[in-house]
Amino acid sequence: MRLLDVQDLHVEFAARGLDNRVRVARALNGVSFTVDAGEIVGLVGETGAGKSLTALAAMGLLRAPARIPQGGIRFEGGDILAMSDRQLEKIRGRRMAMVVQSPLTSLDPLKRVGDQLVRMQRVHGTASGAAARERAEAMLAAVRIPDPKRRMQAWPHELSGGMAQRVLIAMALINEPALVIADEPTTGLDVTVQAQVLDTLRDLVLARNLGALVITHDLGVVAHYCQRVAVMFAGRIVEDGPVAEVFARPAHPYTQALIASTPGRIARIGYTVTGGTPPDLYALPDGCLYRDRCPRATTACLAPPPRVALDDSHGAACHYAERAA
Amino acid sequence: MILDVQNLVHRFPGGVNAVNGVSFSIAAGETLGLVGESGSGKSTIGLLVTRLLAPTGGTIMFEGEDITRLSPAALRPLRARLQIVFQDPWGSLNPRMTIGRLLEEPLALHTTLDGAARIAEARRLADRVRLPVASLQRYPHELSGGQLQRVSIARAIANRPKLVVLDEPTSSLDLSVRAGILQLLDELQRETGIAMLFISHDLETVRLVSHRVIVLYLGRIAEQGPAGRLFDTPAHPYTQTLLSAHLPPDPAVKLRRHEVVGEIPSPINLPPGCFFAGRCPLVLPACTSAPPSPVILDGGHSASCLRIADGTNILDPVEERA
Amino acid sequence: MSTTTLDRVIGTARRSPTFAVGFGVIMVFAFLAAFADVIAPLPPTLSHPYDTLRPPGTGAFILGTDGNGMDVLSRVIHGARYAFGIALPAGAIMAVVGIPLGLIAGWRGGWVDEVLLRVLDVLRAFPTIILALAIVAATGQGFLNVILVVGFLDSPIFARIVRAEVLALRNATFVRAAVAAGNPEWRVLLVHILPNAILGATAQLPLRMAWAVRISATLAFIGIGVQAPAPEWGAMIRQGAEYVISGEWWVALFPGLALIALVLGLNLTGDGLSDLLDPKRRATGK
Repeated sequence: MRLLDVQDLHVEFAARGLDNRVRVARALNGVSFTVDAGEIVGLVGETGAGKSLTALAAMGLLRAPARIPQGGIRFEGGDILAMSDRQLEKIRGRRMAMVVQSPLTSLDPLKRVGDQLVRMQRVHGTASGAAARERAEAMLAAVRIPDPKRRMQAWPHELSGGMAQRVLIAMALINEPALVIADEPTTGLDVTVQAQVLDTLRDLVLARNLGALVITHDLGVVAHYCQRVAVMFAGRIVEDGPVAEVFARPAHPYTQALIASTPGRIARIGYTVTGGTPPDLYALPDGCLYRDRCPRATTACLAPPPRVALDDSHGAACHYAERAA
Repeated sequence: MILDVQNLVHRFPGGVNAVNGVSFSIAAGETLGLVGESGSGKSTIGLLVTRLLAPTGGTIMFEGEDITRLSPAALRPLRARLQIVFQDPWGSLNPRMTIGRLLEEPLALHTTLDGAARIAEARRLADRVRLPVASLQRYPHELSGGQLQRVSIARAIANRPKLVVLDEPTSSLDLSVRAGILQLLDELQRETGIAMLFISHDLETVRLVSHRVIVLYLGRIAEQGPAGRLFDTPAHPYTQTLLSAHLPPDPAVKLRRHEVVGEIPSPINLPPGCFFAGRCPLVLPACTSAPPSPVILDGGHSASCLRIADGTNILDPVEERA
Repeated sequence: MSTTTLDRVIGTARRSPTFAVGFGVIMVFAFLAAFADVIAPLPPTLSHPYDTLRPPGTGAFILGTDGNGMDVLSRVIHGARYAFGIALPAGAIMAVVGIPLGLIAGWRGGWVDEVLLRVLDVLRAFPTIILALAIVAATGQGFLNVILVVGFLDSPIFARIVRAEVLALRNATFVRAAVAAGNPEWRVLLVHILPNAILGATAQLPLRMAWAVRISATLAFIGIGVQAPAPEWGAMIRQGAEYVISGEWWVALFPGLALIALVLGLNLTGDGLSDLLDPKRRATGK
């Protein structure tokens, strides 16, 4: 059984425009991936690719006007889409937890750090009283916050960005969840702080044999902290596989373009990629969604591309991806 | 020299010492990269150099003219040649003006072109930055971030400036869009020899676009030099730390991590000696008494660290990871 | 795909029913005010000495008559003219005085800002009605005076709204970019800041006009400004108040209802406008 198993997930929004016409934005168009215990999976893509939406759907947090016309999400074998709000509340923060981008707005400004950690345990009935305080302190130590005893008494506004992000990681892990979803966990932090926060997250996830889904636009984060990666474009996963494999032999033209856009690559081979705008989610074409930007596009791309398995673990949704010999 | 800055100091009301004695110059056709983390004063320097802020101390010479104390009115004609592009493409353009009017504005302000000539020139500018002509009739909210940044660049180059300050021009943009903007800047510099001050926290981008690089820490220059030398053989412990924390987008590159303790000191109460002394693993007693002077290394490379004198300035890698 | 005007109207109404209802109410009153002579069954100040205090539904008097035997319905309809006669010029004064004040106070700060803020403090400390009463008493009665007093009294409040918008815009990147482009200060203010500041202030104008309608009616109610038998709602309510106890409720009730309806309409329009003008809500699908 997979820890998290997302299959063929579709999400759409209906919105009324200025002209009073209801139009449907197809934000996710068949997203499939899995996360197992003991692995960190990166979900990478650009603005509007649907990364955060995927995370919200996995947490069972999608609300109207979002609709899920098709697809399934299984977490520890349970069907997330079929669960009631009450059932989901029991899982969220307990079995699956989330670390979000803006740590300072995610902490309650009127509660001390220690009290928030204790409350997190009391709400889910995992511990209370002195035991909960003890665990909270141990958790702060585990996310490498210096002088955890004193930090228990700190107010959120007294924390630096990096510290606040560590506290959020502590909050997420305090109830020993099986899955952590981190949505741009270090965006906005300075480079030196980013590396430390990511080290902490990785070490804890691996030491406790959790599964983690890291959502990011930063290829550097994926390259050094994830074992597997799924590349998203226009609400689809266009390529997935082990990180080393995908970076060394990217098979989808979009993945190739992303890697060719990194400054290090440009310094070596020059400017080769002309960026483009992502397709209009309100008027998605049939077939391959990348074909307007793709240098290799042919009439074959008017048909939806299947996921071509390049080897056991690496696949790309492109008509021209070729299986390694 | 297009720009020559000597001993620039800026202190914000409230006592925040954002810039604490920075000197540099930029030649025609050159790109100078300014890197640093938050609180390094890099964006403040951009505002001072374009005189959108008045510095507390130091001098700014632009094309041989002292502009340090010029009044806003006296600065105006000069702004044709001294331009800036900001980080946020969505916020940089007046939301109630069409792209066409936005492109005509700098021409109306600094040239005697009539209406028809301005429109023609605006079209030429749009074409130059590869904006579709149809976008001239559009409003900013109808364009993508990358297109908006092209509009800002077109506005900046409208009057053939000598210097353009680029304050994180690609940081808000997606990776594949970034490359296009960087390529455009590169072309513009090759064509017209514009000098550029490229401010960014993104080490890889700075390395790609800059001829020379300055590393800032707490409003002071820690190290500077030709981009290749500085990135390949960083001399200052802070630069080494900064570079080692960078995550290159390639899993094949091994990370050599130097971890530092603590956080950046408060810019309100500056420490007396080297600003990095409190976090530096190689700190010497002398480091905390007086700020170190820059030590000249080879090839225009220099760093302000006492350890360089006896060659003990290189940090040991704390960990190596695949 | 072409978008017809009707589509836009329906679209706007769907996105902000508040605005649609409020604006609809205002339009009804505007129509009444414009064609009062045609719509009103009788002249508003025509006295019927033998038909005083007739209850609603008596003969031709659909809403009854008042103590002078004047037709209440006709008077309520004509009252809309006074309401707009106050609201529109008072609103114009607020805009003409308040916008430049707010612009300068927000952009330059300094003494203009100080004076504006202190005047606001005074206005906040004083019950406005007493202040208005004192000024009207000092400057003399009359419709024009009421308009001027109401308009000027509210100008600082409107100025503050503009000031807040300008303060937020002053540090906007596009304003900085406008300075960097070489715009002279006046051009930064008038071309770049004003059109963006006005937008937020626009939504406040109907709210301030509602206040003007209310305060002028209150003044008339306590006998200041417009005098009976002029068909002004506040004056009519004052007149009718005497009869409420003796059971002739209609004299005060109908002008009261008209007043409430118009003030509500203006307030709804203001609230709806701020929704419609909010760029975050203007975007579709987000």
